[in-house]
Amino acid sequence: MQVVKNILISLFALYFALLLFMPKKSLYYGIEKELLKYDIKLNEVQIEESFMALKIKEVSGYVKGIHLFSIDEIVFSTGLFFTDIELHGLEIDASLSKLVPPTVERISLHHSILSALFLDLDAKGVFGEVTARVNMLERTVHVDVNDTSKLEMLKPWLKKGEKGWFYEKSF
Amino acid sequence: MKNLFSKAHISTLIIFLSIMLIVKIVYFVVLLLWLPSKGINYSQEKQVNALFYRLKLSPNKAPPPRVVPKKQVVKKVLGNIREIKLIAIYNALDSTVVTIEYKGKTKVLSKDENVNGFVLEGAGEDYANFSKQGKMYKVQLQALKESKKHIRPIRRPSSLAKKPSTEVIGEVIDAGDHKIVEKSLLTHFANNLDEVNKNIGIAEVKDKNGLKGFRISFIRRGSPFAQLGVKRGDIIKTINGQKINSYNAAFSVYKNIGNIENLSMVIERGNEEMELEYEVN
Repeated sequence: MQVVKNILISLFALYFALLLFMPKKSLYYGIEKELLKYDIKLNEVQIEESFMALKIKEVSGYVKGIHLFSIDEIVFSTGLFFTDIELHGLEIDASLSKLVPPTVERISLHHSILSALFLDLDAKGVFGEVTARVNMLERTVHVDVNDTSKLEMLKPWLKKGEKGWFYEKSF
Repeated sequence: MKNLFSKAHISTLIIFLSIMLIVKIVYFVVLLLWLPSKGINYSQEKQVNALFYRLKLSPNKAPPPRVVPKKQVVKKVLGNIREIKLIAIYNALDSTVVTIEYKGKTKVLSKDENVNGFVLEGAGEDYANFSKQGKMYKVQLQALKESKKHIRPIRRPSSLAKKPSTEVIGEVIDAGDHKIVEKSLLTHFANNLDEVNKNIGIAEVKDKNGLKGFRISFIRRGSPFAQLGVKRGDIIKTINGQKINSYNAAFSVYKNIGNIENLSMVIERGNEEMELEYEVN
């Protein structure tokens, strides 16, 4: 009984320690460093670290030195078995408005080890609401449009299927 | 109290703390070896200069493109444009052919071919444009000259130009010694970056000091960009006084292009630097 108890306590301690001591800021800096390889630079005003999450506030994004987008808040949260990334208030430079939607209210990315090969995404913006799934094994992205009321903006890229409008691309 | 400090509890606490310590040490090593301890703090380039505008005291009489010799001395090529007489023009969507008379001999020239250094750049309804050492020359059709028609700015027939996928409002007018760019055209391209990308391609040019400018990698034939007098391979160095030595500078110029009243561009073609000027109406 004591052995079982010790194993359980060890596992809990491990889980707790992994979350508590995770160098979240440094991991974020690591992401910044990776993005730099693609000439994307992120400037943030504030970084808040908590037990299970990291909040980055007022992020300005530069692509090849051009200030192209800003994000009100990015929240990274993890429970080790799952990871969520939420972006709030994404605004893209007006000069690109013909290419991409100028504002996106929210983008949520979710990854769980229960479906490790998939990445789920949902987004809400001026284009309405979409959900997407990235299949990392087949290297495909499938996007379903849930809200068809503001469809006009996305229509040039969409196909119509049995379940409604969708977008599919392999990478 | 006795229960709290029992041997079992103390051993549990030791296990707990040991695991915490081990994890902390592992993270510390990972941090030390692989993860950056500082973020990338990007300070945006100093705001690019405001675009300057050239004041023209004599309207519609902009000076011809100025050739600034660079390093190499440009050889003076003898010859006069007046020696070329334009006899006939064939203008199609994808080709331009003219028949000229030069020193008593008749010659047929296609676009980019030259006679005595005068390169055929294009042709309109009743004229042909030649360039030599960065200068543009306009030769009127001989039949017109004989019928004593006056030289006037000629609008390139829109039917000759391939229309891009979305309607472009406005055009580039060749006024002989300079070109007039319609404001609506600039506004159209300022609001449609995808249209710009379809009509002209640019690629960065670097030297040891960094970005030197942007090379024109392609120009869509028949597009308004083709009528500006720039060619594939030209390196754009400054626009209205703003050095185009960073993406930010280029993008800043692009964002302000809809508000300008004059457009002046320094390009590098071969070993020469040329200044091209346009009037925006």
